[in-house]
Amino acid sequence: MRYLKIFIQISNTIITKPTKFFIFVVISLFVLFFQAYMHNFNIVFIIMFSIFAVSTASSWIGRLNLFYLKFSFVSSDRFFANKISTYRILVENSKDAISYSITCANDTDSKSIPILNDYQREIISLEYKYPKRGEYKIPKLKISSLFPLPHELFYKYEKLDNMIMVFANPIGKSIFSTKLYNQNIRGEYDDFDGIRRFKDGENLSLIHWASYAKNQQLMSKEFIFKEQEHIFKFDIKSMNGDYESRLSQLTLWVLECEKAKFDFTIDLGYEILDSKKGDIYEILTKIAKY
Amino acid sequence: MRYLQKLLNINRPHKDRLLDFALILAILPHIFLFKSPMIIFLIISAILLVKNKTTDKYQYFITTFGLFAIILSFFDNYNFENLSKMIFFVSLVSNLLVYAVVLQKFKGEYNAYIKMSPALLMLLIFFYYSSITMLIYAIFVLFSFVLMTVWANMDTNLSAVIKVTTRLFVLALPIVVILFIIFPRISFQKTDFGFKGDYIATTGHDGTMYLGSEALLVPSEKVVMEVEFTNKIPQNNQLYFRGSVLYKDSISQWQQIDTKNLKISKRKFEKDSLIDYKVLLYPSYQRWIYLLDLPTITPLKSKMNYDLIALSTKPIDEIIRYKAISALNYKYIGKLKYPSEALEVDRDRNPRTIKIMDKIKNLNITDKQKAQKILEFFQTQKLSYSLKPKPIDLNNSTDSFLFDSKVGYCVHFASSFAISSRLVGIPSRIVTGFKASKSNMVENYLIVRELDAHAWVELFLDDIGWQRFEPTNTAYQILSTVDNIGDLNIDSNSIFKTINLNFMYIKYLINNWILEYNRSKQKALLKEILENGIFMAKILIAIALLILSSIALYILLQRKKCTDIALCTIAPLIKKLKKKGLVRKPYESIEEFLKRSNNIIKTKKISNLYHTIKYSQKIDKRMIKKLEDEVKIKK
Repeated sequence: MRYLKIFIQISNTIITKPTKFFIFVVISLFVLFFQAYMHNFNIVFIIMFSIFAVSTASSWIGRLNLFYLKFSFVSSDRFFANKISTYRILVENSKDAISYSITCANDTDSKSIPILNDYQREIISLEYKYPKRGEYKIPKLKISSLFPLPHELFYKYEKLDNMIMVFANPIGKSIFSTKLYNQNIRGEYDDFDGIRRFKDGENLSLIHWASYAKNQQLMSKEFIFKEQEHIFKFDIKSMNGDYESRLSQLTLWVLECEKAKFDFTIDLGYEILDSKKGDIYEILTKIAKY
Repeated sequence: MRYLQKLLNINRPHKDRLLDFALILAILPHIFLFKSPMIIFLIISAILLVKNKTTDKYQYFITTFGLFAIILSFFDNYNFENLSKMIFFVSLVSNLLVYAVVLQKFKGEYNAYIKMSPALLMLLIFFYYSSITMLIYAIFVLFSFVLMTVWANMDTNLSAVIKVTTRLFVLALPIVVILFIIFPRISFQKTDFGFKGDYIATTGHDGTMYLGSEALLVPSEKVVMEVEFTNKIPQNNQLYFRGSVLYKDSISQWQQIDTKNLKISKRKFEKDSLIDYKVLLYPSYQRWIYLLDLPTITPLKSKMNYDLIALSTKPIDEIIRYKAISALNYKYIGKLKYPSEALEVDRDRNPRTIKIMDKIKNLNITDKQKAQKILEFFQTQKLSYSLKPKPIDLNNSTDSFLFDSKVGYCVHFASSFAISSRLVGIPSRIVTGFKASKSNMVENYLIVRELDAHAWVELFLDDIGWQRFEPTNTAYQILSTVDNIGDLNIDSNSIFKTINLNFMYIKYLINNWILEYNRSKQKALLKEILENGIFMAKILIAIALLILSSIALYILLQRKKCTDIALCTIAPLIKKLKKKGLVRKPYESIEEFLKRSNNIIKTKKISNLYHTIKYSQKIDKRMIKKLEDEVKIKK
């Protein structure tokens, strides 16, 4: 009963699509059928049955090849509207057999995994572009393979529930070319302060890998800054252009401040965001959700 | 072994190399059919391709040479008669196909046409061969083609691809078997064309029995026929297969006579002695259909004559199969007749034999007793059996054999006994054919070879009819033999012979159940399945077992080879803990995992043993055994 359940599950999960080689198989069977029938050639019959049987067996091996693959979201770079960025997926082979020739793809990118050993995990990076700011689900993954025989393409879709925050497109005038910029303001990393939960879009160099190994949870290292004296003050209402361009401008400034380690505040009208009080990810998120 | 290991570890070659290999496999059987110009063309092309000489100059040369090779190969066949033969076209197409493949190779193009060529070439070759060798080769080629296709999709070494391909075939096997049995067939006969080279004419006797130097046999192991007994198996001294019957003693040879005018005598058979059997007869280019002594029915497409010899309507030029029934115990009934030639004897020859036989003739005893007296006389002469007899005086062959040389084989014994019987007034005839031996038998399967050719005598006894006598059994000693002559048979059952016999048996079974499987066999099998519940159950169990074994083999092939002896030893324990809900995390060391599982099973000792084995310099079998025992206890 258990096996029947798995059988039905496999049939429902893995979708197949004939390729051009499928036509070759059909024609071969057809020709062999006529040759065998013409002369009752049992050798030809055997070859014909073997081709059919091997193709059928291939169908099942191909399905099993993909069925036991599990996918989970690991992390992503910062996503900005209308800009390509990367996110990472953990592919895990949860069966005690090797999986071959796997292709993981979304609408814009694909990655191949030639071999995934039994119970092995591998992280793949995929690029994607969201057209607008906001919070989105990770794009549907299409996992496909032509293994073992290429007459059938096996594929399944993997929907991951994780969300990705897509920030506003950082375009506009650079902060360094505005009156707001003051040469004297500087800030730099000082002492290691501790660890906190990793936020999507953060620099990967901040990941505390020892914590990941222990608890399987991505944590970030936090540092204390020094010499932070000057604060930029951005006000959305006093900016030019439509709201989308203002948000894009703000996003650009926030990123520039982050890079140059400047402190800043943003007045969104209903809320003031302070770089001292909240981290950059939170600030960018609030701008994205504006 | 090292080279094999190296071979198995090679990584995926370029797709073009895989295609080249497929082409070689597909062309190979064609080479045996090509005529010499085409073979020379192929050899030269191969050399040039290997040396990478594919410039325009070489391309022109190969194009011209190939055309000439094809023209020369078919030079004799350009006539209207051949144009009506399909085989001519098939042959022409295969030559042209190979020619085109070679030209493509010289151009260095790998287009769709060249990719399909291996399949097309294999398709064509099936028109020529239908032997077991071809069956094995075809399966091998199919396996290789599948392997190469899989490899094109798998970036791994040969060993892994072989495993995957084997798994594919293992899963495919039950489907092939089921389809082979149940797939509906229509009973088209095989056409006459086809490659006949697999079977060459075999013969053990040719309808004439020579006594002179022509009689010197060259015993051959060639198989004449294969017999499968279906109800019961005859005794060793009952395995006489009738070939031809000879009446006429023409000094140096015995010949057949025309017995068309004589009707077959009626016979009565003991039901219990009836033997059902099937024969697979190899081409002999003669008409004799060999049947076990004494046949009761005439096989299809043959006629039985007065001598109870079945003759085919046309010479046997391909393997034929027939079913027959013979009776081991029989009795002639009704009015019995024999041809006058059965009593013909030249009293001017063999004076010494005449003198002895006259004495027996004058005894007041029955014909059967007289025949027995002749046999006793033969025994007193201390005759030797040898396949290398001394030359005899053909004018007085019986005297020469019985009194002078005293060395001969079945023909000399049979001839002398037949003449002696006629001298005492008993009609006689010599039967030539095959005397098989049980040493050539596996289960109910018997092989009859050329060296089983034999001659024996039949005497016409009053009120009884023709009865078989085996004068060769009177031999006093054996000097050299390969014959199966009743009690004189020497058991030469070496291991090699047994292996060979078993191989022949398998070959016969393959021939019988695979290559010769047809509509009538399918119908008979399905009828048996539907009518016989036990048989149906057996078939279903066999299919179920086949499916289960395929799955088991598939799983076995999927299993990875153990490289970490310590980890493999505790694998059953990890499996057990997994069943209990304790799963080892990917980042977890064995030590940590065993510590975690200590609440369920005490694993401290196992952990210690595991780490001792894991980090020791050499494999300590004692420790492994200890760990195994510990794991067993915990299980």
